[in-house]
Amino acid sequence: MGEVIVITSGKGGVGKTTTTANVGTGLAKLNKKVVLIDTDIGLRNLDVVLGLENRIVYNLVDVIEGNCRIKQALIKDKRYPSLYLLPSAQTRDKSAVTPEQMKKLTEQLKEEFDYVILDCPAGIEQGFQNAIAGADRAFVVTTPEVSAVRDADRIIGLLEANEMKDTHLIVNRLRTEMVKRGDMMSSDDVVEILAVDLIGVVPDDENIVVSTNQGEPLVGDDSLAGQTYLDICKRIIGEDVPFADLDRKKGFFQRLFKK
Amino acid sequence: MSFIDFFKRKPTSGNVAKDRLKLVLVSDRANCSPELMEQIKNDIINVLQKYLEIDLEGLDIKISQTELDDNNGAVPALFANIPIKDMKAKEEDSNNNKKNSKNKNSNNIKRTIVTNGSKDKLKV
Repeated sequence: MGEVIVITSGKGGVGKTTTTANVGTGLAKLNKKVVLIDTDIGLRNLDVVLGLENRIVYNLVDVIEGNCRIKQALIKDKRYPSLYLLPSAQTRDKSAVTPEQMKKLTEQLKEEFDYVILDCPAGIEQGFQNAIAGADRAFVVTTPEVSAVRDADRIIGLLEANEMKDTHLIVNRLRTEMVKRGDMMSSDDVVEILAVDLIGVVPDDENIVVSTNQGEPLVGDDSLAGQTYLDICKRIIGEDVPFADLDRKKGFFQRLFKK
Repeated sequence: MSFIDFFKRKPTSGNVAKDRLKLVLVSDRANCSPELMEQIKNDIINVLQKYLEIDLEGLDIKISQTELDDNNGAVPALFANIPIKDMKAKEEDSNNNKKNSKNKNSNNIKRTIVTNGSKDKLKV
């Protein structure tokens, strides 16, 4: 029996979809069978981040409405054969799906997959309720900014109200040099404010933009973001991984030429 | 700029962000739904009515912020302003109480219950 994880945030643009793509790919890299569900109906994005946009035939709403079997709608990843995507519908709206239907769907999928990961839409309306309906655990993504942390707090409250037992925090886009200067809240500050356990800290990394441009998640590569995403995946499968030092020392030549 | 100001360190923007967030979350978290507030109110009334005769018209129960001395920040607190009309007479000395009650009727005794909410999160 697999586990259903919802990746949510409240505020838009903090990195839910990027996190979903990288965590899903990372778990597949660790030989887990994973399905990613884009629950943002009307604003489909996870397919392009994964580079699978040209392979979509059926979508989430088709499955819910019984226009196709689940298997027909699942798209196999280009690089990892144990990774699948259930894309969202682009031409429908959130009311096309109910929380009960989502719960039923995730229950079916977790029979067959080790991890069912849901990319939640921004906001706290029905799309959010749909995404969390069948989830066993939730990851709240936030950046170290007042607006994102405030929304994360609201989401954590709503998750509690919906009896979510296991909520963890991912602090995304941390800029170590700004934290050092005192011009950005540290991940410790955010954890202190939100009082939720941390499962990952991902630095602001230009490589993320490059990887999204190419439609290839960077989890597990040499970049700092790639490493920290892989660490999150290892923690998900139960490994005890220490939090990486994000203040990676630049090499001698890098310092010399790049400053 | 005076000489002293020069050495005074300005709070960093990161700390400013943290302090602002703490404040805004206090009011966000305290902002519970009207239904829940109504339930709390009714329960408080029910308990009090066992012992007191209270003025339901003048009753005011709300959650707001308060500053605690030992805590340099605002915490959510439950404020209840409940005018008491009369003490409920105990059966055995009901006669005595009736005589006294006239005095009490004239002035409303205001009581404020403050819950220490520094660690409680009231989220709905």
